[in-house]
Amino acid sequence: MATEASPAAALPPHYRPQEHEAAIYRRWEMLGLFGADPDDPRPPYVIVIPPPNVTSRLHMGHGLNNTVQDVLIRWRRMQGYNALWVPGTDHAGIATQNVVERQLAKEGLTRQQLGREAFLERVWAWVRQTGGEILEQLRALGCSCDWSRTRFTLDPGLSRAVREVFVRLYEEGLIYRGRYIIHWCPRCLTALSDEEATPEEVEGRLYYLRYPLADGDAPPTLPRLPDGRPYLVVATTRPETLLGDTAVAVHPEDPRYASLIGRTVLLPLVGRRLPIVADDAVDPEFGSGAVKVTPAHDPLDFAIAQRHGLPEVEILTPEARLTDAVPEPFRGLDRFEARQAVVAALEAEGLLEAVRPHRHSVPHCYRCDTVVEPRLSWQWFVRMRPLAEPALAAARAGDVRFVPERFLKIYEHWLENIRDWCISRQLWWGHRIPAWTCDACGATIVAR
Amino acid sequence: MLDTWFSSWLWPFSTLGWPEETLDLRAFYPTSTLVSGHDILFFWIARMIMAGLHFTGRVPFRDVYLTGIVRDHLGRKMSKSLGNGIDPLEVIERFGADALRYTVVAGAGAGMDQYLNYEDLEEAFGPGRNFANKLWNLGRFALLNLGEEPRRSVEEVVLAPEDRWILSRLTATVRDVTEDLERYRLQEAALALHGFLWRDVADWYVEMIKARLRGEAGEASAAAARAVLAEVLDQGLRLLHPIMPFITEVVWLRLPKAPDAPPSIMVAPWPTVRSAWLEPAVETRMAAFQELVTAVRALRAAYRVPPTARLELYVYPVSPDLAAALDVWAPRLGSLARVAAVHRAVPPAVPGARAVLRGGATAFLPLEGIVDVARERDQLTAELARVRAQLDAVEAKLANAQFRAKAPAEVVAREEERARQLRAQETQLAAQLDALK
Repeated sequence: MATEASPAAALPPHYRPQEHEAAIYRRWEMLGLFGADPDDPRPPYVIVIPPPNVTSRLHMGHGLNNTVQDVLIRWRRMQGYNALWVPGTDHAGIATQNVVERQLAKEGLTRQQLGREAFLERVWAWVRQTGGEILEQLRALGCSCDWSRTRFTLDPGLSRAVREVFVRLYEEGLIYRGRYIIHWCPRCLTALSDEEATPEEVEGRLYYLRYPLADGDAPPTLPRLPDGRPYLVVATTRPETLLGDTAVAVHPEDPRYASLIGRTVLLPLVGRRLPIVADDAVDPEFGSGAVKVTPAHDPLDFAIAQRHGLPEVEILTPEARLTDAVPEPFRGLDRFEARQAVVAALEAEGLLEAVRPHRHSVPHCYRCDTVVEPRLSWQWFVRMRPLAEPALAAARAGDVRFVPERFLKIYEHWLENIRDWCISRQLWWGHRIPAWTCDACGATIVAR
Repeated sequence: MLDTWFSSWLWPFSTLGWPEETLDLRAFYPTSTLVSGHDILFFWIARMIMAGLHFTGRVPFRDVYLTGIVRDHLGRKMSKSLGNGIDPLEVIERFGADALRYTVVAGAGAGMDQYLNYEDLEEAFGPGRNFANKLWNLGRFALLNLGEEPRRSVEEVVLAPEDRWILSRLTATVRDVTEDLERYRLQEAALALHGFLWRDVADWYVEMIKARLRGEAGEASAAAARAVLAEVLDQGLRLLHPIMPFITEVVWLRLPKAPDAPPSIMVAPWPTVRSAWLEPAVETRMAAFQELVTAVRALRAAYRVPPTARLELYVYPVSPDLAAALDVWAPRLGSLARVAAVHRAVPPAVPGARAVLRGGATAFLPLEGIVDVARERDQLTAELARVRAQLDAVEAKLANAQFRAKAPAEVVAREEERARQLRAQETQLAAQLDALK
C-alpha cells in the first residue's frame, strides 16, 4: 500500500476492499492513532464497549453496535477531542459454561463427572483458544479501540473491583443472604434473576381439584363426593405441586368460605391435613376462590406461609424430580411426568373436577429455554431500592440522556417497580462470592 | 458464584482502574456515550447507572444511545436456530467493511429495528459497496486530473458559478452532518453524505467541470476547477470517514496535500463551516438549472429520442433564477442533456415534447424527424379523451343541485378542486397534442 500523498500513485480501475482494508488498519495501529493519553489536555470523549462474550463470534448485532461506536469515536477524534474507546470482553458466566458443557456432552461427560478444577481448566482452555477472536473481528470492522486498554471481566483488576463492591454493599447492609423463592433453571442448575427468567405465553391448562373437608359438618352450599364428604375446589396450572401443599387459602371477605376458615381439608394422594387460612393475597375471582398453598414452590404461597407460620415441604430436587417427601409411587418422577401421574391418580379417585384450556405466561431460562421452576433456597440479594432512587433522580434531572428519549419512560417504570436482585448463581465459571462460612461456628465471613 | 452482570455493572469505572484512584479514572471518567441494544436496558444499563452513582458519586455516562435489533427481511430476530443470520465477516470479505458499516448506519435510526435479507446479501449490501466504488471512481477521476502540481487554495483562484455552488453545498453538508452527529442522527448524516458525494459531486459537479479540466475555458479556469475539486473531495471524504473509514483513507491519502498535513484522514481536523461559502441564491439557480436538465432527460427518455440526437431546446417564460442559470450554464446543456442550442422563446408550431417546470417555465423539444410523431399523437389523443370523460363526470356532479345541497361542504370543495385539476390537465394535454401537430 502506498502511503505517500502522491497523485502518481494512481488508483487501479476497480476497488477491491480486501486489498486495502487490512493494510490500512495495520498502518493506523503502527502510527498509534487509537491510543489516548490521560495527560492529554484536550477535552476527553470516552466510550466503553459493551463487552461481547469472550467466546462469541461477531454477529450483525455487534456489527451495528460497534459501527455506531466507531462512528462517534472517529468523529470526536477528528473534532479534536482526546478520544478513547475502551475495548474488552465478558466472561459470560452461564453462556460460556453452557457452551463448554455442550462440548463435554459430545464426549459423553458432565461437568460433575469432571469435577470443578478440571472443568474450569477446560473453560479456561476454551477461552484462551477462542477468546480475543471477536476482538480480531472488531478490527476487521475497522473499530478504532485503544487495544492497549483491553479488559476482561475476570482479569485481576476487575475481580478486585467485584470483591470491593460486594464487601462494601455487604457492610452497608445492601447485600444480604436470604431464603426465598427464586427462579431456578433445572437444566443449568442455577438460580436466575427475575430478568433472566423470560416470560413466554403458552397454551396450558387449568386443573380444578377436589380437596375433601377433613373435619365436621359443612354448609349445605358445599358440593359433596359420592361418599357424602363435602369438598372444596382449588384451581392450579401445576397439579403436581399438590404433593407439597401445606394449606388452602381463601380471601377473608369471601362469603362462600367465611364459615370454613380455621377448618381443615384432607390433601388428596398424600393424606396430610391442611388448615384453611384467610389471606388478603388470595384473588376471590380466580378459579373457585380457594387456592392451594405450596410454600416451597411458589413465591406468593411462600409469602402466605410466612404470614401464617405454615411449614414448607420441598418436593423437587434441583433437577426438578420428585423427592422422598412425596408418597412412594411418585418419587423420582420428572416434574412433567409427575403432572400426568398426579392427574391420573386424582381422576381415579374422583377428585378431578375439571380441566380447562388456559393461556398463561410461563418463565423460561433466557439461556437454554427450559421452563424455570420456582425454588426455595438460600441466595444472596442486593437491596435495589436505595440504589434505584439516585438512578431515577439522575435520569429525571437529565444527567443521563436516552436516545431515543422514549426509553426514559421504560427505564423509570422498571426502577420504580424494582425488586431485589438475586446475584448468586450455582455456576462454576465466574467470580466467587467473597463470603465464607466458618465450619466451626457457622458464622458468615465477608472479606476482600 | 456471582451473576455475570455483577461484574458488568461496574464496567465503566472498573475498566479505568477503580477502586484505585488511577490517572485514567481521573482523566476519562465519567464516560461520554454508551451504545447498547435496548434489550439489555435493565440487565445492564440501569444497573451501571446505579453502580456508578453509588460507588463514584457520578453517572457513568452522559448519553445512552440505544440501537434497534437486526432482523431478517421477514421481521424475525436473527438467530442460530432459525439459520437466518448474516455473518458480518462474510459480508466484510465479499463487500468490504465500509459497505457493511454504511448499510447498518444508513439502514435505521436510533432505537429502530433494522431489516436485512440474509438470502440476498447483494440486495442488502450491494448499495453500500456501490457507494464505495463510486468514491473510488471519483478519486480516480480526481487524481488523473489534479496532476502533480501542489494543490492551490480555493482562495487563490477565480471561482466559476458551479464552483461557488459546490462549495455552498459542501458548507451546507458540513453544517448538516455535524448537527446530525451531535444529535445522534447517524442515519441522516449517512444519507446526506451519500447525496452530496454521489449526486452533487459525482453526478453534477464533475460533469460540469470536465470541459474546464480539459482546458477548454483556459488554464485559469482549469486551475480553479482543480482547486475546488480537491477541496470538495478532501472535505467530503473527511465528513464520510467516521462511517466509511477505509475507502476514505485510501483516496484521501493520495490527494495532493500540504507538506504538514496529518499522516491519516483519521486525525485530519473535522471540517468547519465557512459561512462565506454559503450562497443560497447560487443553490436556487442551480436547482432551477438541474430541474431543466432533468426534465429534458426525462422527455428524451419518454419519447425514446436516440441518445446521439442533439435537440433544440425552447424555454419560456424564463424566470429570473432560470435566466441567471442559463446565462452561465447554457453551454453545459450540450454535454449534460445533448442540447444543440437553447432558445428563450416560444417555439414555432411544430410537433415536439413539452414539460412544465416547477418555476412555471415550459421546456419544449421539437421532435419532427427524430421520433414517430404519429404514434405519440395517438397516445396523447387517448389520454386527452380519458381526462375529458372524468372531467365531464365531475362537472355533471357539481351541476346537480341536490348534490350541492346535501353533500358536506368539504366534499363539494374536494370535487371542485378535482375539476380544477382535470381542467388544467386537459389544457396541458391539449397543448401537448397541439405541439405535435
